[in-house]
Amino acid sequence: MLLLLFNIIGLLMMWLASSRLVIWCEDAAPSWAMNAIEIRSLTKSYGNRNVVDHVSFNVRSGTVFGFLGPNGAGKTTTIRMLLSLIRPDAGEISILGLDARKQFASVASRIAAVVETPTYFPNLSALQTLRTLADYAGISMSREQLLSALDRHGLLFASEQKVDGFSLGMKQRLAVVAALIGDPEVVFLDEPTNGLDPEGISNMRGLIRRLADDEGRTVFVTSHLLAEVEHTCDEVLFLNDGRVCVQGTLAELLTNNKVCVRGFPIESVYRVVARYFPNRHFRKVDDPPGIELAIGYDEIPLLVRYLAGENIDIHEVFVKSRTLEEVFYAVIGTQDI
Amino acid sequence: MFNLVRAELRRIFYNRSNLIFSAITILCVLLFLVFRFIAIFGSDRAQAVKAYQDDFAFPASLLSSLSISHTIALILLPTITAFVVGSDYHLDTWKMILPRSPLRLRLLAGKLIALMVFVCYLFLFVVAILHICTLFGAYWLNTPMSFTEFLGDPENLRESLRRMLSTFAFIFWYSSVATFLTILSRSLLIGASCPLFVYFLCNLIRAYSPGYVSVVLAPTHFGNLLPRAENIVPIVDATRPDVWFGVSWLIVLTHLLGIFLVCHIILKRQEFASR
Repeated sequence: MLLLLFNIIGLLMMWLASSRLVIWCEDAAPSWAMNAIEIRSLTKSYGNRNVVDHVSFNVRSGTVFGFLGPNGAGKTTTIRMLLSLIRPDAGEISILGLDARKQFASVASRIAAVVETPTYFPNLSALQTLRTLADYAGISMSREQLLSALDRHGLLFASEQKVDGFSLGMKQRLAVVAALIGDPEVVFLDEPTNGLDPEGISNMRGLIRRLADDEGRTVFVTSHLLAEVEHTCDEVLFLNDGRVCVQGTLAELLTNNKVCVRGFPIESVYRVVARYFPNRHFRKVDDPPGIELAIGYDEIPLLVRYLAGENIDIHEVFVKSRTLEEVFYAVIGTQDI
Repeated sequence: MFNLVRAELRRIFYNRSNLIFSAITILCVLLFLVFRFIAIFGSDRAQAVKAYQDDFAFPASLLSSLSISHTIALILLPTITAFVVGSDYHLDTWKMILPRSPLRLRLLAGKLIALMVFVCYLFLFVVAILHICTLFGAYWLNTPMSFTEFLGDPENLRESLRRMLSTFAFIFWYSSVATFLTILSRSLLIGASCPLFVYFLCNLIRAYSPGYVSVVLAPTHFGNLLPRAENIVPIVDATRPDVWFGVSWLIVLTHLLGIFLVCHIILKRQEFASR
């Protein structure tokens, strides 16, 4: 009898424990709260050519992710696979925690995309175009809401104009307005600054940052303008020949761990560095003469102290960081962007 | 679905090609009227009134409208269908639509429903133009616009219904063939030009092949979708097969459903790579 009672109590405790476990699991943040997009071994071939070759990466939620690479690297093919326009040969695509290859219909209502140069329906005005795209997405929007969306992107004046007559920049902006219909959580922007003037590029940069910073959306952006990416993205990935070359946050990629020192007499600088930082890679630079030294950020005060101890006139000590363009060329090894 | 049809209809109705479609429609109606009016007004008044009543007085005029619509559909329908279905290939607008509305079956159904709505609009347009033009005939002959005796004969009603079913079955089948060819070829041009060839090929097979071959073709059955006085229809003319009208319905519906499913399978398997 007692044994039976213990068993019942034991079962009850196990049930309670499992309930708590379930509750804990529900409370815990789902995986897509961390990564909005998770790609594993994505592969696509045309004939014998691997256009996308076992590409894997994650895109953190609420960040701007730059997807970079030279022409023909496989960027647009990858985006089109993420958007279910192309079927991958292999690999897994998870968007917002859903298997995008099997549940794309559920994913579609939560994402938006501008793929390559936007193309529109002929003879429709900007307002009619937005209304048509909203209809396709199954979203009901009033005329006022659509006009307000156009107004936010400086297109109110052209709301009744035929899209055929729009400049490329206006078409790009309209594509972004259309993409933001329905409040998507993930926005794919393929070359969003194509055809924009400097002011337009600056506005687009601001818009992309606002989408991530103020509205918490994840933005997946491809661009050829590396300087723009450098100002806009939190994390970048370089693709070349369908393969991931490098991926990291901008801070990780641009930090060089190289310190540039300029002082007089320069020979004394060489001597101090050789004596106090043996086995460290350094190289002499000219015009003005100096030295480029690979040391840690925390070793810079020590270096300054040694130089001062040797009565060397220190003109300049600075951490030399790389530009994204330099990273790009280092990774891709070509000037053809 | 309503949203998809609305989106498609907006694209169709705001297209400049509608002006061309409307112009061709008016031209066809006018050509038909000119030839008929020459025949009517060339005869004596009694014969002219009789001919007018048979062809143009309401509701007999609806039969004329169906005849004209059949001819217009033969010329225009592939172009309209190719425009509705093929423009997304031509303009590369699938890349905007599919990420937002990924269920291709719904998209295809939405396009075809919108197409049928537009065809109905064109039919009403033909009816309207025809009736406006025949007003002049009625005025000229000093005869009423309506011909209510027409309704008194059950055979007239049966024949009207038969022709209406035949015309609409032809329109459905012909547009589905155009849809199939457009999706298969991804080309607006092929979608617009080849259905006419397919239609003539079907007619050629019907004319020169044994009966059991032509019986599987949908166009054989368009004129046999309504029973006559008896259920089994003897061969009375070349346009009607020697089968029960239910079999004709079955064959026509199988064709339509089959073509729709094949279109869906092709569209579902298609990829939209960078152009």
